[in-house]
Amino acid sequence: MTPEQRYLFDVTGYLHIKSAVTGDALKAAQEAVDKYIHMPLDERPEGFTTRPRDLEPGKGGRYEHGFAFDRSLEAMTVHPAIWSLIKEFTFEMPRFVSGTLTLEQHNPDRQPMGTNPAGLHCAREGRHWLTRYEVKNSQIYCNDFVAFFYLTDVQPGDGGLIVIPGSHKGQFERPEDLLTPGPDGIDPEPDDVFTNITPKAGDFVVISELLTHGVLQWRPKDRDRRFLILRYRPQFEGRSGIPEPIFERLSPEVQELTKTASYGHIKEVVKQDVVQLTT
Amino acid sequence: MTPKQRYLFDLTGYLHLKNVLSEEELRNAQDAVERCAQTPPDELPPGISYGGGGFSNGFSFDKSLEALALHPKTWGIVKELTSNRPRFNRGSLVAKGPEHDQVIGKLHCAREDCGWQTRRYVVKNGHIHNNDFAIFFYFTDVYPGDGGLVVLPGSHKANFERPEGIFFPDPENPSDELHPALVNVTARAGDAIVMSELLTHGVLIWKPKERYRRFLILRYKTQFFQDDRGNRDPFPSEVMERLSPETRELAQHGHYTHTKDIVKQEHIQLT
Repeated sequence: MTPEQRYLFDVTGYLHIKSAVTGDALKAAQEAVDKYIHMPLDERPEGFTTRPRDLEPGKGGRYEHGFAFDRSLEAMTVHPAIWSLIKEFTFEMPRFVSGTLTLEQHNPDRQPMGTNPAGLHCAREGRHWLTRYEVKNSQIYCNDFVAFFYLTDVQPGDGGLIVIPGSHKGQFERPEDLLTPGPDGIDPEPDDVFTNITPKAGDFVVISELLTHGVLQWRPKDRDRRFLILRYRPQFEGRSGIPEPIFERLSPEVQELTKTASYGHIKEVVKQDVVQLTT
Repeated sequence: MTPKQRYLFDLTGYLHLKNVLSEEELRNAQDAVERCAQTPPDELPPGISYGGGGFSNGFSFDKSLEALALHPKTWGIVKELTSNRPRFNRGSLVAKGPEHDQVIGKLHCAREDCGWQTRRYVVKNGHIHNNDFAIFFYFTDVYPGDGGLVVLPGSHKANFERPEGIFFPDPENPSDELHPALVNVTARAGDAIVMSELLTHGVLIWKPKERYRRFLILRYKTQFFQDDRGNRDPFPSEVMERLSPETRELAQHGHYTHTKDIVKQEHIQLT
């Protein structure tokens, strides 16, 4: 993790890492995703489920365990652009929790969000202050964070992810009227307090789950938003929820990364600066 | 301080308060600023001096400006941030011209300039304590793209040193595109900006050729804060003499157990 990354993540609660994956590696990942989302239901490998459960091929929704569909996607869990962050945030004791592929399309039926336009939320609000962000010995510790890997471009004005920089250290409750609903009742009126992140294919966005974030309505009708949601926690918190058929598909390195372990244990994969997936 | 103000200031390190001044307050202040700007330097009231687009102690040029130091819309914030121990210690009037702000005003903050040990930002018992902050009252409009104040939201709580050149790698030839972590605060006439001095901030190059920034910078610390001025009055005697008793009390040094009379008031009228 560079000093610039450390400073920006500490101040804002997120990092946008541009052009991390390019060329053949990006193309392979995009093709794998395309193959997965268009695969007929009865041909999907065992363990690959969706939300909603009856999601038809090619439709917007969550394709659970999408990271495991192909090695080109699985490789993103330990990609060199984020590997040093994963190790620093967990103080060298990481556990990979889950990797969901999300496909978002323009949805004219999306319902208004009431007093919370864009559906702002964060782990502090949902998990009773259990989530931590601290700086110790000049390193950042973060026990719940996500790396989004983008497979398609997001342009300014498209919509997508918004974040409230600095909110990972917030010491007060978020006021219900923080953002003013816009005319459609879904997106908020423009406000300096939030930032709409517009990653391009091949970028990573890493956020602390303490960072307040939400989603603007996806506006393009001819383009969708595709990204992997890769979640990480320390190895000594929680237990793996990855189904056996998915686990069996993984390379030994990622299998180890998904395992729970004592807080004194250093995983073999962590000893590597650059992780190459085997088999 | 409202819950929303408290939330936003805690997250970002600043507050943009819109339409703080009434039409009459704004008009009176704008008139006073114009008169001050038109006054030859050697005819300025005692204790006010001009240099670099700013009038030192310019808040004391007119009662309409002095009154802003205790404005009802910011007074609750001044009291909360100082835990009811406020001291007003500087009030400069800025009236920029075409020759000013043509290079980037470099990013800085009190942590970097004065040492991390000297400034505090703490939340205690549901309130914010910050021992050094400024309030800017704007008398002219700033629009997106104009330039002016730029801040790094959240930096008032930074745990690391700011890497050199991270936001403006080439300050002599800055990009038109601002780093996404920075915010150019575009206040309109009658707005106020409250900003912790721990917040990293600077000034973008001013682009308009027929409009210029005019605003008041009012600085506050805790009444027991010791800087190189010590316990002395923060303003020259000729300035202190023309201030209202309320402003004089606000400017005075005080023990950390002392509660000033003005702090007991919700709304203050200068006498």
